[in-house]
Amino acid sequence: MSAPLLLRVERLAVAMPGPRGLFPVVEDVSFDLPMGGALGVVGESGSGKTTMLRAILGLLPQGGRVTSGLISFDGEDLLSAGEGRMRRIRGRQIGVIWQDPQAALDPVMRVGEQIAETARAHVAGSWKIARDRAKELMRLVELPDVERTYRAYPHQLSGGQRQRVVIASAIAGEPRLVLADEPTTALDVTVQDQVLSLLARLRQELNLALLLVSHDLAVVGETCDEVSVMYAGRIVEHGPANGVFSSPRHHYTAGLLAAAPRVDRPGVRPVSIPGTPALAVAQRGCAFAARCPAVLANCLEVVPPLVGQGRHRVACHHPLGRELPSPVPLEAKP
Amino acid sequence: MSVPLAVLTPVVAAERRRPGISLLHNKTLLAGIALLFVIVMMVVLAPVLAPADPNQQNLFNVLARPGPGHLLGTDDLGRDTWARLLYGGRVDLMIGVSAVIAPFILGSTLGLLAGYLGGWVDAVIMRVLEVVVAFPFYVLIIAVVFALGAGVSSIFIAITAVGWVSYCRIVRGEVLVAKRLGYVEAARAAGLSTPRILIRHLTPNVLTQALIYSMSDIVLTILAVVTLGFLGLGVQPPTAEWGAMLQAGFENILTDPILGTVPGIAVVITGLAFSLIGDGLAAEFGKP
Repeated sequence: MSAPLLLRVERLAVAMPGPRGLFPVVEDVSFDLPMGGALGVVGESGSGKTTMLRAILGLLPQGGRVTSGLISFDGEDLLSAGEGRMRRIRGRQIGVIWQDPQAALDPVMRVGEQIAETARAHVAGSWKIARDRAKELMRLVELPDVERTYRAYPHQLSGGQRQRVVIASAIAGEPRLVLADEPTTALDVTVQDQVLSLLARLRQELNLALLLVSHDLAVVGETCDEVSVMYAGRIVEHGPANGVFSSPRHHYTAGLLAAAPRVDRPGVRPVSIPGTPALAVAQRGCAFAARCPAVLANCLEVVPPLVGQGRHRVACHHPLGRELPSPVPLEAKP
Repeated sequence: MSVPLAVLTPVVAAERRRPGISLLHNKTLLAGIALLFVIVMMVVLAPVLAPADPNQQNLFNVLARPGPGHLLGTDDLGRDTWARLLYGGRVDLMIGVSAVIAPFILGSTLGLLAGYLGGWVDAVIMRVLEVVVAFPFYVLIIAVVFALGAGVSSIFIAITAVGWVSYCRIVRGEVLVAKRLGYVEAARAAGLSTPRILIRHLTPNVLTQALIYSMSDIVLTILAVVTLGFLGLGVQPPTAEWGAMLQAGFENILTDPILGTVPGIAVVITGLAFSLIGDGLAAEFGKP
């Protein structure tokens, strides 16, 4: 793919305030997203996915800080952009689809107005134009009976309809990039599929780039061209979606895949990854070492770099799918 | 990958609940509103219900017992107590209700700004608030009225200067909660301006609690007006006012207890009406 670059994140590190000062939650995260491309970020809760999204928007929670790295959008450095500039980027260049549509909508404002106000803030010259635009967007996301739904309050809509409203307002500023934070997690399974199909169709029709964050491998596999797997604040594996899912190289990715229930293979039972997810970014060794079935001595000493040939890269000292020269067993270490 | 549109089944519109307050099911609110309605009608219709002039003295008929000519008798200057009660209610209700508006607006605005902007704005507003809160309510009110001179405009200024703190604290607390909620974050992520987020999204969501509080604040304010009247710092004679009537009744408490009791009961019943409305609203909005 040779589409021009839209979003570049380079060696991003984010720290959040904790009981004992700032502690890192995202470390050394890099990826590129071309125009119209779709990247999925997979990871457990607390792996830093959402924090990374917020860092891109410049909306880290109070006390949170980007400690190093670079975020550039269409060649513009977002980390040095002022609040006024960021306000014109949020909504206008980058739209957001939130995890919980119930929370993301103002409970006492008509949903149509909530779509219209984003349009008004960025692209529509008047409220009249913004309202017409909102109705157009509501038809685009296939909300029923637009004239009536426009005047509805969020509690009067179903969960799927609310998420459609959130999607409509995410694209109301005609952005080029949409960030989706677990867009289907709060929805019924039957509605999840409809929303994903809608996202895929909008992406194609509007040539949107999509950065989708989810813990659901199926969602990412269905929607994205490329996948990054995050664990404890770092990207541990990155590659084309089919490559990563068909032949995972990191033990964590393999564990995640084995833990996901498979409807297509009823005999296969999901296998959980032993242990609990690491929350802190490892400063020494591999964060996954404590849970890794193939841990070796150097896993506890050296942070594995994200390396590999071609597009499929992995941060592991002894990745799957390739025999290691002569691994030193952990027990053998003096 | 193209997705055929037919895959997307149209979603059915959810059942719509009719919004609005279910007045008939909220007996507390209903009782409060009914009681207030009666009180308001009585003071509005004062000329009809009490034909006597509330300020007409008759020194030959002072401290008269209740009777056909004077429903509740007369005071120490021979004025009709029933007429003074109704006309006095006009004054107390009007000041009590309208004196709540300015602190409501001032306090809510400052609370919104302090809560949403945080930082030094919050620090400055909260330090000023703490200075006000450090004084007992009545001490500060009386001091301000005393400094400005007795009268209605002094009452307004004093109540505004002291009363805003409660609204500020309530709204600031609500904003601190609300600004972490999804819809405020979503509004920021949509690139909306700060004034728009404050006015269109936060204000409608945080004012409920301030509104509920304002009902009990009206009670407090009426009490403050009555207290100032009792102390001679409020509405000046000869205008009828419950506090001044209490004061006059207090002087004759041993011979004519009815003079001091009647305005007292009126204050209690009015306070009860607003309290019932406040409780009813609180129940209606699901929070104590």
